[in-house]
Amino acid sequence: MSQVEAVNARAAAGTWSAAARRTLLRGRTTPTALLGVAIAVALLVLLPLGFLLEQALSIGWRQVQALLFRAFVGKLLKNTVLLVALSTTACVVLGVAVAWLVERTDLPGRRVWAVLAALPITVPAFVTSYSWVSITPAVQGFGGAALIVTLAYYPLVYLPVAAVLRGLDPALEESARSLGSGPWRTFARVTLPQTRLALLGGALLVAVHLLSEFGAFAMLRFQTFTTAIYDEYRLSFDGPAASMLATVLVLLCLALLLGELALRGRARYARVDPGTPRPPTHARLGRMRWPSFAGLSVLVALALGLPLVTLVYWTLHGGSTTFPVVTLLSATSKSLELGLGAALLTTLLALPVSILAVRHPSRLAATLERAAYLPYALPGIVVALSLIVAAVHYVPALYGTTGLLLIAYAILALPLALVATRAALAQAPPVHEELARSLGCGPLRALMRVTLPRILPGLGAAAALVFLATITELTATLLLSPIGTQTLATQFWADASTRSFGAAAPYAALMVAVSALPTCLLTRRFGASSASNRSSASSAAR
Amino acid sequence: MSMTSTADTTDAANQNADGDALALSARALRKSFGRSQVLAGLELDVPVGNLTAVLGSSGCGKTTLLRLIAGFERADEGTIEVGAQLVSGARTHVAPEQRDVGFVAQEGALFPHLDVAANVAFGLPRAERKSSRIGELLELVGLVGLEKRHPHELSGGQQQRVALARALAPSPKLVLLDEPFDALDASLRVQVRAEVREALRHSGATALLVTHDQQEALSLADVVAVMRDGRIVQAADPQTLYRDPLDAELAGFLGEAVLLGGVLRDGYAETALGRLATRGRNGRHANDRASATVMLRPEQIACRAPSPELPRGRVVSTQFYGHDATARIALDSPGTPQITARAAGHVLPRSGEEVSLLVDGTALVLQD
Repeated sequence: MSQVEAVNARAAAGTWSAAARRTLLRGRTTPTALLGVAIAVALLVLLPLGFLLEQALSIGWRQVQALLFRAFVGKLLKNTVLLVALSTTACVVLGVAVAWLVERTDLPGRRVWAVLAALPITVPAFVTSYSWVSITPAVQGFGGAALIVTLAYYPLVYLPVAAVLRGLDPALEESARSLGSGPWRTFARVTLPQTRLALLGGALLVAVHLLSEFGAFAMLRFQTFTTAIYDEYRLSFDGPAASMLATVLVLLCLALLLGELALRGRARYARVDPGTPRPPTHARLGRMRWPSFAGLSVLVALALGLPLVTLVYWTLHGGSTTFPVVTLLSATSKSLELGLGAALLTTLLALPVSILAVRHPSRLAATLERAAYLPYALPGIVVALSLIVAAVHYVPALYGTTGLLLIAYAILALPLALVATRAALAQAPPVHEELARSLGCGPLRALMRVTLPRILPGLGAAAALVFLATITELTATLLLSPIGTQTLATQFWADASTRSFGAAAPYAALMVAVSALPTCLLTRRFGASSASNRSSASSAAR
Repeated sequence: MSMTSTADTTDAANQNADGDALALSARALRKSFGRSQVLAGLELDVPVGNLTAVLGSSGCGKTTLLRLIAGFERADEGTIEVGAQLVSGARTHVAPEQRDVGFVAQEGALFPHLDVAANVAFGLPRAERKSSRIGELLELVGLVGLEKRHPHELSGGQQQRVALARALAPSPKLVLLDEPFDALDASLRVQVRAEVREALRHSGATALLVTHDQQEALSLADVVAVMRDGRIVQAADPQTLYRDPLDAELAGFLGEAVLLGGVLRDGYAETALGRLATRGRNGRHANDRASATVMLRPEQIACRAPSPELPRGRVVSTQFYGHDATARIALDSPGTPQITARAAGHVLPRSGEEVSLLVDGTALVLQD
């Protein structure tokens, strides 16, 4: 090879030097204010955990041993772990399948299914359990519990995965097809990996929900850590025993978080090219079209139809002769008020943590985000009691106020808001913020003018998820409600826990109605607004 | 984050050796990510009103350079001045929004939630967002009438021109363009390039563009600065750069080069192509040397009918480009490299044909 050829070849191959473009994002400096806010949020959230540990450890090692190493705890552990593993797997399979069918295929009536498939999340698991139990006591026990919580919680996987599938650039799938992958291989190798963050986030939520679920298991007479803790508190007010069980529960959650962290890896899915994707294309189901339709019908019938029909039945044919209209109205307005307050507060708290985690990834940022997920595994009752103690000791004025209840809701629902805001932020390319900066906007204004409009659907989803969780929150509400404050959930529980199916029904029916409305609006608006960003043509047609 | 004070600026730094006012002056810039050093003491000046292209292969640190100038990243060492203002130094890091530096990202990166007019108006003060300035800018980039379109309704070239108008709107001291034509297909690229160049000329803006495309740099810029291993190795106007590259590697990077070994004596080189008149870089005379490398461009070498006075060879292969063509020729004298000659497309010799080679102009003596 001549000297000329060597030079030309080298120039063409671009081997002049090797520098790492992929490391560009690592060099960004983290704003101190953002870091400060995120740390404050994490601390607020860790407060209950601190109390829990302090109480659990204050009794000495001997007693710790006595409380932990007994057959009862072993049984709880087995029950809880088996149920979480089985139901989470089932939720992932169901959630992904439904999301794909609804968002990326020519399934008949996709728009209606998109709403219907999400709706079971508006029926609290303890209401679903109540419905099944009111039909047959056979669902009490492991099998019934696994089935019912799967039906109740699969939307936690479906919703975030569907959101990602909706925003996915079809060019990715088309590229894979053109590279020789069939539809199934394309789904497995391109589509599914793109939803990985959402899928893992959703699965984590399901698992963590199951760890802290109390009402459904109490109703189904299936003993897990939460029901045991509740019993300890109710029967003996034996602080250390309950705290000890709760500590094991927290350790289980910790294991989950670490597992998810390992699976998540270092992947980032911000599209490098911030161009404007076309609306997604829809795969043809062919012969599977109507079988898919039928499968989805059965799912929705079991997860949504059955509880609703049961509720209507008990409301109409219940034992009570007169409707307690005044109580119903005041409980409804109280639930709404608390739900909206919690949605606003929690979304505001989640945003800085998400921005830090997505835009300024670091070990500290990841730790803070993980910390914000932690209390979700604490039963509402533990968060509530620890807040009561903290308030009584440090801020007596806060004790017995709505403010304290809202803080409890925010702590409990923060992970929901985080999942939604984080996923939205990860899809908004950072280059837009940089451009806004170069056009004269400060960091905060860049956030307001460029990022916020882009992640608004995600923030809406976050607020809606928090609202729904709050409306149906039971245990923290029972303990922290200011005197005289009754919500739909507490009124329902008062009757349902004594198996007065008829008397409980109207409250549950209202609770479902109240939560169905925002879900319905949100699923539609969510889809519409993100589509109108991309194609005003389609919004004109609407 | 300390802000610039007037004491930080020096008048001397605002001009280059020719006395031109400088829109950008980067001194001894260093930047590493982890262990990999991306910028290694880079120096770069951009005179006001000038379009400068930084040319380098991918991964050479071009984009990092732009991000440091824009303020998206902090330099490890060195200083950056924009106009008379120190924006980056040992204890100074002016925020991007206070630098007065526009940015055109690789693929436009228009804000998808805003229409064309709102994108262009983004950087203007609120009072001016409805003013005639938007119309002027759209006229400048040739997109009048598209105000209400959304980014997804524009072609790639249109998106890129809107991105330019958006960057130019606040009349920045300097506009940075990060491989702005890379995402466009080839036929569109030449046209959009010309349009962008026109728009920049008309607006009188100072621009710094980075690219890995030699043709783009040479055809577009007033000054081309070649970047290699985190440094600018040579900066000159395109003709000078193409004619007098610093070394063999650069010569090959900027276009095809024919490199010949030879003996230098009295301003001539004895080579496989005979006795060639030589020149040093920047018009200097090259000193006599027993062994030197000289460079010719293929267009300096013409194929003629075989003749006893001229070096002879056989055409090995030809490459046809339409407007011109190149032929690779193996010289008859053994131990000599193959030579590339460029000819107009209609006088292309055939493969296997016997030719003699005639050299036009002088050969550049390369540094050892």
